[in-house]
Amino acid sequence: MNITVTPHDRYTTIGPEGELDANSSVYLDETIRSLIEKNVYNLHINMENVTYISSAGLGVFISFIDEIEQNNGKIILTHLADNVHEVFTILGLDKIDNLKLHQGEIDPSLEF
Amino acid sequence: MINFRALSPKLINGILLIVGILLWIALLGIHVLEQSLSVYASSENWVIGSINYQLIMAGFMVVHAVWIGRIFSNIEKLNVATLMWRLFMIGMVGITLVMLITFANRALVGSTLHRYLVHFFFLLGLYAMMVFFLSATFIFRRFILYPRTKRKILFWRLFLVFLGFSVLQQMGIFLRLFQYQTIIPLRLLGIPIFVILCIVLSTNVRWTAYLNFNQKLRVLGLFALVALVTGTYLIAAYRLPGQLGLETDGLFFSFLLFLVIFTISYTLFSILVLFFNLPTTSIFERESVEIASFNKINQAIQSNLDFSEIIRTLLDASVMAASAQAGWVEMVDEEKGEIQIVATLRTQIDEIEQLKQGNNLTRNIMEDQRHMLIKNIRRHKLFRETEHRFKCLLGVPIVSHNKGYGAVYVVNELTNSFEDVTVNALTTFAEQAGMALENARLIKNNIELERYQEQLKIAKEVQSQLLPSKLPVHPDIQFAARSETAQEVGGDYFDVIQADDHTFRLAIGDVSGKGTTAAFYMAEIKGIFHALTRMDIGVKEFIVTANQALSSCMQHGFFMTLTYLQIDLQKKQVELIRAGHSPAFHFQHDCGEVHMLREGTLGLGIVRNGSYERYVRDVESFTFQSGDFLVLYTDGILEARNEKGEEYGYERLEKAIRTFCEGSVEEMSQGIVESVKTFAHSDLDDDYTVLIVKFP
Repeated sequence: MNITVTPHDRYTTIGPEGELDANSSVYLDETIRSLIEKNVYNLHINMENVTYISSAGLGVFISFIDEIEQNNGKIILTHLADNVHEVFTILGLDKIDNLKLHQGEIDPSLEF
Repeated sequence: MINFRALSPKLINGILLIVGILLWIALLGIHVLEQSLSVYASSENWVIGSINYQLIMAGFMVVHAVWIGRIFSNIEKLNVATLMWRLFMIGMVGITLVMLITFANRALVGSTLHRYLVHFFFLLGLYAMMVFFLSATFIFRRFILYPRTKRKILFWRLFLVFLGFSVLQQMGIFLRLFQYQTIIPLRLLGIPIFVILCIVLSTNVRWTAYLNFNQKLRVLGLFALVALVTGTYLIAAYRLPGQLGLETDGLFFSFLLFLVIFTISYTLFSILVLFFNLPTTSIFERESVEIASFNKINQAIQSNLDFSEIIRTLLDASVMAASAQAGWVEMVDEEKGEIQIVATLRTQIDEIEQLKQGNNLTRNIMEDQRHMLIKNIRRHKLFRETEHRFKCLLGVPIVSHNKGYGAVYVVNELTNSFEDVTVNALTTFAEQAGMALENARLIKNNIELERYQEQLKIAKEVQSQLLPSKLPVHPDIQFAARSETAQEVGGDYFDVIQADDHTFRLAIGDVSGKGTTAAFYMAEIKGIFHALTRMDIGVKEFIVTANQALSSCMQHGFFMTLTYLQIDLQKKQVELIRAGHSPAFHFQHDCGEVHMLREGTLGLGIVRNGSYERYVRDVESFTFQSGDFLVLYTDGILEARNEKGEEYGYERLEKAIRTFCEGSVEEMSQGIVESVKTFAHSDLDDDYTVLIVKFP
């Protein structure tokens, strides 16, 4: 899986590409973990090029929620496809304060 | 008519022998009669030499030929040494007889009886000689026809025809039919043609090829003895009539003469062939050892030999085929990745280490996948002028499907002592051994795999007992459920418990992921469900406590969705909390209206600190009426895909439920599962569960 990481002033953009399944989500997990280790807690995840997400893929975001919350950070997901957005919503992830879901494109700098 | 085919071979042989002996006695009778007559008449009128006498003589010979031919024609397994030994013994018995005749003759000279006895002696000598040469001829026939070919059989028949002619000629039939002048050229022509035929037959010595050095030496000795016996007989045949004072043409009847020519010819050829083949025999022996080793390794591939047996076989075969002084095998240790000496022959590990001085010979050979022939170790760069008793080394990689297992080495104290032939043989051996090792490895893996499958089967059985086998039965509420796992074990869970006479508690859940990990957490949630439903707590408290319990034991990144219901039949009220799980359907008034119970909270194990309670706000609480029903399910149903990649989805599910509205809860649950399977055109690749609750 190809993942682009673009640092900005107040946040870092992560762009995973392809299918987020049990195998590929390991790489996304590593990417986010390395950022958190550098005390980067404001993450913008561009889901534009993600075609599919499995429960293991969801698990990656879920596993960092507590840590991000404790450090007053935030995860913003943008460009969520309809079905992916539905999965996130059903799971109740839309209710989490420091996890924001956007189906379209927004300016992430406004969120942080 | 007697049916000869019905008689046993032994009986026929017995009859032949008796007839033969009777004929011989008849001959003796004629001789004795002649002797007594000759006292009065001149020898010119003797019957001996007449047609009648020769007819009996011919009969005597032919009967014996058939008898001996029969005895030696049924030898199934050709054992040259045994047959030659038997022939020699037959010859020796005959020679002893001839010697006894000679002594007896000398002792009895001058007596009245002697005049008659000489005829007995003469015929006895003839008998011994004929038996020997007939035996030799028919034993050699077996040698010649090894193996039988059409051409050889043809030549043999021609030989028999000549023998037949010799009998006829002896009977004087030709003299009667033709003029003497016609017979002379026939005789002159016949003998050389017969000699040529004998020589042609004598070239069939294929059996010599299958003897090893020692066997050849033994058979050569036996042939020499037979040659000696033959020579003795010839001398005896030449001298005996004279000694006996008989005026005959000696024992050289043309029939016997033909047999003698053939016996001498074949014996001579066999001796020559055996003698000149002796030096090359060792090469053939080595070749056959190679073939045997090759077969042994081949067998090792087919049978389930273990690693060490295969390596031992390879090493033994290689050292033998290379005529090497020593050898060893080095193999890669799968776990450590190191190369180790695993087998040695006529050398020790210390000596090999001393020779190699820690060089990477085996790795080089394995990487190149090619043999390495070092003609002089001292001059090779890898060995840095090592002083060692071994001077020449050949290493061959043991490879299969590009996987290197190690290498086999053979060494010699003499420089430059391995040839191309050796390299080829060892390469073949090593390839075969590589395949054998590969097979052994695959079999081992297979056994391990079977063990895992067995374990999984047990896990499946255990897990299937975690799901309720029977659902509660009550006149005012009906339940039906179907659940299946994609792999041996899965992460779907459902359960129904009757708390008191009017309260039911239900759960349906799905652990993220599939397989073994999911199955463990599924067992966990069952424990939590059963513990919490015994306490009289509300749905909100249930879900918060369940989240707490799961968070403490579930691995990071895993989560679980769960829908929990409490049904009060008295109040006709349902309280439902959806923790990230797929929303349930509530059908009212016999499929009239439908509600999707979407209100819910976060899945379990997502937020693991105390803040989870903050998210638990929305609880669905509604009343039901007779004819209402609830459809609960896991996402394996919704996310089932068809060939186009389309998901089954809510709409298809709703439609399917409506199709089975009129049926029982069992029919409905089964109908839904079948609808999903028809849509997906195959077995589903995710766990799925359907749970129907109906208020009749």
